[in-house]
Amino acid sequence: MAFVASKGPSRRLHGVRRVWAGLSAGDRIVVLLFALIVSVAIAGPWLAPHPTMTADPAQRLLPPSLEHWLGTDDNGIDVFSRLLAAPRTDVTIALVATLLSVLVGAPLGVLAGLFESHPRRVLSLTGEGMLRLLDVLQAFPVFILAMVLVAIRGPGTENVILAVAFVNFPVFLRLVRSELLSLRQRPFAEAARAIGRSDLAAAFVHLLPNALPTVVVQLSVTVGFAVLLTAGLSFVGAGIRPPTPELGAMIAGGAKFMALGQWWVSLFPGLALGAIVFVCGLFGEVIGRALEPGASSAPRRRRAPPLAAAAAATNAPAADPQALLAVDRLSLIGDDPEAPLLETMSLSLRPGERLGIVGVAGAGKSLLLRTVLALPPPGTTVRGRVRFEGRDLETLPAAELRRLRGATLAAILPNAKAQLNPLVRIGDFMAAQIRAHVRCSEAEARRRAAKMLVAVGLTDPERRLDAYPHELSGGMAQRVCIAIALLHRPRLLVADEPTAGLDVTVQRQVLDLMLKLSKEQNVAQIVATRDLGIVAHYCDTVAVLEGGRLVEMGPVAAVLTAPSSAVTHRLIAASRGETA
Amino acid sequence: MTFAPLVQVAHLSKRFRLDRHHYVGAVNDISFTIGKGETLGLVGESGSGKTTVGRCLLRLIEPSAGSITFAGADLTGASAAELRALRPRLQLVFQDPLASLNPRRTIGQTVAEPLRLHTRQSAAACRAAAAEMLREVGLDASRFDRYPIELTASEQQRVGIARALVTRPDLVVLDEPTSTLDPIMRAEILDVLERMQAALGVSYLFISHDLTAVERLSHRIAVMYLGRLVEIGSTRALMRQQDHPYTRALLSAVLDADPTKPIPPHVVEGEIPSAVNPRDECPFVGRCPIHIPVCRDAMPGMADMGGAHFAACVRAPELVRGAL
Amino acid sequence: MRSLIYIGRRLLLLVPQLLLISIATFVLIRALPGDPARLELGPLAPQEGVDQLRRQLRLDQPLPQQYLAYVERLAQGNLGRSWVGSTEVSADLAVRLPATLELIIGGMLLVAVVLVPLAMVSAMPGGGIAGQLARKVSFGYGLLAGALPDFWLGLVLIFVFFSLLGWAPGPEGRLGILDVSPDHVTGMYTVDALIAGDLATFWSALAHLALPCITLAFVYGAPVFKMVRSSLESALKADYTLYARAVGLRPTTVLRYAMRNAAPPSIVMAGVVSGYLLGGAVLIETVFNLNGLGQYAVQAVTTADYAPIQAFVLISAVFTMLVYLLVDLAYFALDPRVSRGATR
Ligand SMILES: Nc1ncnc2c1ncn2[C@@H]1O[C@H](COP(=O)(O)OP(=O)(O)OP(=O)(O)O)[C@@H](O)[C@H]1O
Ligand code: SF4
Ligand SMILES: [Mg+2]
Repeated sequence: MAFVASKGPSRRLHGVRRVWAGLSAGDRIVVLLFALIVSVAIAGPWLAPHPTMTADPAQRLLPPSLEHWLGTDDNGIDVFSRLLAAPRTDVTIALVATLLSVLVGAPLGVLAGLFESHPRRVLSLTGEGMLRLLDVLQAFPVFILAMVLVAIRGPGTENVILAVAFVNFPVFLRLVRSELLSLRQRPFAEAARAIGRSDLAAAFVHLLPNALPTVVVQLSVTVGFAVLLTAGLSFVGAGIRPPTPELGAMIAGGAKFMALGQWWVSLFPGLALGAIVFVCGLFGEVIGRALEPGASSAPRRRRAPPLAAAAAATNAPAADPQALLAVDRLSLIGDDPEAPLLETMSLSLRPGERLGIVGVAGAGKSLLLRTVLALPPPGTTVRGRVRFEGRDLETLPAAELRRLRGATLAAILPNAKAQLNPLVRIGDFMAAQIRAHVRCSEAEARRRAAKMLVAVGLTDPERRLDAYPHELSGGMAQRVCIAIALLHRPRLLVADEPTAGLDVTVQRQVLDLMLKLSKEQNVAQIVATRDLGIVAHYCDTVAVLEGGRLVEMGPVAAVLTAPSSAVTHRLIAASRGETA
Repeated sequence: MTFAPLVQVAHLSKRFRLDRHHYVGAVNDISFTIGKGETLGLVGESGSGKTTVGRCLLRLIEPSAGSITFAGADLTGASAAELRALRPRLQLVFQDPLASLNPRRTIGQTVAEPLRLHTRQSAAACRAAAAEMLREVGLDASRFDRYPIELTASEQQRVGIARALVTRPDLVVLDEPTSTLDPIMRAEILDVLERMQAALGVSYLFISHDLTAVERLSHRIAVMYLGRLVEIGSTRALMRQQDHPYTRALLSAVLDADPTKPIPPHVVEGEIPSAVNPRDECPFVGRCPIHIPVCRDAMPGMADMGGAHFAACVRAPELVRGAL
Repeated sequence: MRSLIYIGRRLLLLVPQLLLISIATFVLIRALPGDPARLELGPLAPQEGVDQLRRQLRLDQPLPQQYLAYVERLAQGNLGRSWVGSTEVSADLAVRLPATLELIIGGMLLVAVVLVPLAMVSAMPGGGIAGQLARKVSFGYGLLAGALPDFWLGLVLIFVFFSLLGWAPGPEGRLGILDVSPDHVTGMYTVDALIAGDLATFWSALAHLALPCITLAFVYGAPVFKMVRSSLESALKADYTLYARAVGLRPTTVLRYAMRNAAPPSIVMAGVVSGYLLGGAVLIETVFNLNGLGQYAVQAVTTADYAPIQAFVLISAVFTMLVYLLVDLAYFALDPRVSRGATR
């Protein structure tokens, strides 16, 4: 099998240094703490200031002092010294056991994953059988299983290792299997087959490396868990026995003194245990993050160059007395105050006017609409003003704002099927929406909901009310959203990509419906879309956004036939499938 | 323009079993050809079976029935080893560019991989060839060691195209290569595809629901509805005159960005029905504004409308005459 | 109809599962070197007794026969004898099971009334000072809970609340030394004391349960806590929540709907954790001297008393299987996408 261009050792070293450079201060602390634990596990016994295994009855149960920093135990052994010596036992057992369980579990996981979906029946049954066996194995609680295994095989380091490894290998088997199965669904797995890799080769070359971060995170969690398990076994006397220094046994040795007030014998080993487990867990997360490819350098948002047209458009007068909606020098500021997500935008809308908002992906269309709805994404700050029916949305009390939304200020968000809560019936949702705005009985609300469903062209409204969103098609879900938007005779309808994800023959039906209702009820609309065709035929005015700025705005006929900005030019050419 | 045949698909069907009594008729009895250096556009709405046709063509999924001949060889009967030998000549470009690239491999590794698998060239030679191909699709050498996530969507899709073209294939299936891109990126990618076809003489099966893109790139267009082929013809003929009511509906749904052009009247109501256990009838009958009782009797055959233009509608001749 | 079929199928699955569990426990003990009858009766038992048990267990016959004998014995409710205590294992279990149940139920109640609400509050944005405090507490708890060993935590609680503060009783068992256990009804002292109307005993039993239950809840509630918090957080960030707010639903309704989405994964996690609780009870009972199943098992392990070990392993596996059954059924009931299949 041909492996593609593996990196040389010199590059890898470079990689380690680069990873360190990419870590945050907190992550570096975690790495250093982990290194500390490893060094204590290696060198601890030699660093101990006092003997760690010889009893000295004269020194029994001394509290912490300058001589014995952490006191002595009931055998008169220095707790601090034993504490330095003990992690070697626990950490070694945990590491070896975890390694064993991943060495057994991971390849079995690959096999189970490959077998399960294999067309050969023998293999698929084998894969299935493996999993069912595992189910039964995992029905035995981990601690009990480990305890009984040690009881059967007798105490001793190897037996504890075997028991800990045995109870943990199913974790890796399942993890690798499920990672593999989900990675196989990803298009790059199919791409590997399309260029002629066999299933097995694709699994090892393309899939397994992508499962690595998850496995590494689990590995460190399991090491921590294995340390706890080892200590627990020793605590009940089914693991490592004294005099070998071991944390669980140390805690057990001090247990009866805890109730008597001699706390130091048990307290410190427990703290050490907690610290080891804690650091292991964090270390895994750090490594998992560092293993993500290109994690440090995702592409930056591109800012539009300053444009003369932008200045002109943003300074458009906002003081239109008839305006239904007036957006005045609106900015939205995210993480980087130097690069606002939306920059000093001004626009206004008269009653019944239909405004289209266009721009390439990431131009800020959705952000603008969310800000108009006074629902900016968390972590962002709004500057400037949005006035709706003369009221400043920013300063409106939350309760009044809520009463406005969904009533006179209606919204349609992209991909209707994702907008409707999968666990709430359409009828319940609509009734709750109605009753959140007008006083009426549940039955009355449902009647109104049903009427509105008919008005947007859905047949059999009763059945639709009883349905869950997954039982509707995309087109039906979109109609439901339109029905919800129109329940309370809105004056402004804010629609973000109202036809995205719909079949093309259904798109026209939805657009025509929105147009008809908007004309009948004199509803103003703001429609954000990537499709200039929609704007050309369903809007009166159009605003073009680029990089969070308003670069052009005007009547549709004027802007689309004689665009003044480069983006608009390019968008128009692109709508014909051409590059400008 | 006429093309020497490269691929012949005859009576291709694919059924996905759901349970003992139910199956999805994803593709039903479809026949078409693709010539050398030709682009066949395959249009249809979501779930019409376009992707399934493309995957069957590459034998990434096994067809249930029918035959596929590729460059004179029977693809349907090819063994796994024979198939692997054919892989460099049959390639695929995916819909979602980022997802189709292994996130842990650099762009260079990804594009060089097919060469390493299928040629005996040295690693250095493969890298050089990959770099050359990346340049041709418009990516500069500085991108070679980048990871997919570090590129823009348009650049990612160029990488996907470079990977498909690096082995100089005869046929590339393009499965909605532009549908996740914004309009400007879409136009860029169409440019690249067009240029590469001119340079390499490769054939494309261009799958898309975007009629504008299909019109621009394709020599001929095939229209699918609910797993059936309903119309096929040269791009020019089909754009001028649609002989199947569904194709008319599809075209009427396209809105031109020019506000001065009138919008076509919009002809169909309702939505696409389920593809589970399809009946032997015209698939469009439930939504067709001109359906008549015979439409339910059997799936209409492909009628020759002249000029290598075919449509599967019992009323196509009347439609053409303008009698409807 | 669909639901009935699902429930029926799921129940049927229990049969092979139980079968495999019984085989596994059977094999576990047979894997030991030595004579199973001798192991069960202990090193001190007379040879006649051992021979009699050998016949009963059909040890002279092939393994499948022995397995059948084992299942037959199980079916009669005979779990063998403990040679250390010279008692019927089934009788021992009947005495000790209520203590363990009391601990587990108490722990889960604490999780439900303390940890779950805390997790929910900390998942919600805003909430002023109280919300911030809840988030801080929950952050700290989330960090600590997975790392601290349960048996050590129990000891620390004893030291603080018994030795230092004197607020709680020491690790003396389920009741004080002078308390008399209430009349046996359920075997759970708190319940039995209430039934008997004996408030003093009730309080004593409750006080003795407090620290063990807190320990159990603190350690084993952590995964549930984290799941509730993260699933509610993501439900509140989901598109459908934004939409619910955008159309002006009341904040309480928005929250209620989001909670529906957080429920299924949380319940699955609670089920998985419940499966582990018997294992957790082992250590906690030992620390607090509660004389439940877990402590019984530990004693059996340290004295190589195999009949109780085998019985305990069997019971804990069956318990887990039943919990998983309940989880599956709950999930089925809660998520219409499972119960009402995707149709289009
Ligand atoms: N593995 C599968 N199992 C069952 N049904 C499937 C499977 N793959 C596809 N289908 C079904 O086959 C039909 C055709 O699907 P296909 O993906 O080929 O359509 P498409 O035209 O490519 O649609 P889109 O535009 O959404 O990509 C659909 O009804 C789909 O649900
Ligand atoms: S065959 Fe009938 S139903 Fe089908 S498209 Fe033609 S007229 Fe319409
Ligand atoms: Mg597709």
